[in-house]
Amino acid sequence: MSEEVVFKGSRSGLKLILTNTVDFPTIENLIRQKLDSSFNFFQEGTVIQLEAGWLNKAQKQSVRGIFSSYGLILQDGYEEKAEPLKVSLESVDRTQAHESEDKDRKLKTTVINQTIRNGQEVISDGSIIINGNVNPGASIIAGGNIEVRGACRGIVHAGAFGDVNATVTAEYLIPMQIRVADLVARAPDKRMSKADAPYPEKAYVSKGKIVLEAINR
Amino acid sequence: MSDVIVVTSGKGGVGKTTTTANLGVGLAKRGNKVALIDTDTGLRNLDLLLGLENRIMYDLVDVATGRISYKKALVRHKKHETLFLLPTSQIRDKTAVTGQQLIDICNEMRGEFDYILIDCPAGIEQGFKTAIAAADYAIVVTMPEVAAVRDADKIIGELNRADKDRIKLVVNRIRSHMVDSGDMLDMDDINDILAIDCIGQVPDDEMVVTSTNRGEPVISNKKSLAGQAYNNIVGRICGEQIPFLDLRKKTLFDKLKQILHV
Repeated sequence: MSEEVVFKGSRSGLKLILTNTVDFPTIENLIRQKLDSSFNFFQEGTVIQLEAGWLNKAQKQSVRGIFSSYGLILQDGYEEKAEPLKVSLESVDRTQAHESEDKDRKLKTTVINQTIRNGQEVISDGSIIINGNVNPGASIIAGGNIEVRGACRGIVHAGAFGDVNATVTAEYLIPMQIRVADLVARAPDKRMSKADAPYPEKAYVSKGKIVLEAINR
Repeated sequence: MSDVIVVTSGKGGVGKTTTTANLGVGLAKRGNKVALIDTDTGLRNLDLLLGLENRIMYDLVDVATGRISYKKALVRHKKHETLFLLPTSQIRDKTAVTGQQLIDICNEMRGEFDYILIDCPAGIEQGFKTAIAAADYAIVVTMPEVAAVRDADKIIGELNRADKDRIKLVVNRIRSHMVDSGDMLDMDDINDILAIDCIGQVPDDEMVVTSTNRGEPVISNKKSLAGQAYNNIVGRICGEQIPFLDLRKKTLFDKLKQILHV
């Protein structure tokens, strides 16, 4: 595969890295090829940061045009670097999320009043509260904390952008995996049931490990 | 106005087609005019289960492309006068019929039938999307098994995404002795995860296999427990309140207790 056009996932979201080893029309073609071959992979509305300082304004505009024709949003990583980490992952849940108007990342909380089923995904750069269950095969990814007011059986990732102080709480905390920042804890190989978590629990990072603790509510 | 019901499951082999055939026969027996539409293009089976394979002249693809009217493609059941099958093509594949075409066909048929049951193919791709497009509500079939429940959960999510909010659950092929020994999920486990209204619990029954091979759905067999369970589902679809069958095998001692009323 070509090395001139590379997509890279990072803490701040997806990055498009272009190197100036070939001419611009070739780059454009390569981008189209990549996007065609990864059709359905990128969700519409995904924000991608451009990392190619060598492109001139017109060229950047043209690249941006290609992305928007695929329903994707390209942000110039150089131009907007000064701003502190703008939303790189929109809350792209296919469920009806009721987002608070607050744009502040720290304060933003997404509340979802329904069960998240197998194959569904809720992503937010703030905190997420689920009033319902998180079923096996579902995943919840939050920049902040995750709270499940129900049984949590899917995959939960709190502090997805590196916040080790993020926590996961659930009425029944029996997930496949708990991830906090870059740490992962997985469920025991034995199949878990509600009886294995009879009280609400909270997961957080302590001494470089994810620990669970019973909480009172 | 009729109800268009899609029977779906996600996973294969849980009994979508069997359920469709049995519900079709059951609804027809109660005097309803019923059409069954097979949308499993390329892998059609519904005609086999109904014993109608040798009567097929035209298929869903012919109707969808407008070559013939749906009336010409319908196959009347040999025993049940008010039961009709709209078979699909065995030669073409799932791309041959679109959701909009199926909606148009169903809208045309609504006036004439009390119930239209759509047999959905396994999977969540084009065939599934076509099958659910026309439905007023969905019956999700699952089995007391982790993989089947997981797929049913996915399917419910997909149905919600397509704005199909009326969803009923049928749990098929229950082996009560395995449920009792904890080797199979019990109804509580299933309800806990899927959390939708359950309208049927059907036991795993050898008579389903023999009746499938004979082309006469098991619902007509009064001796079969699965047949009774399907009959009850039909009643519930018609709005009756029927308690679930006790699927546990009765020991001699249980039977004695029943006789003596203790």
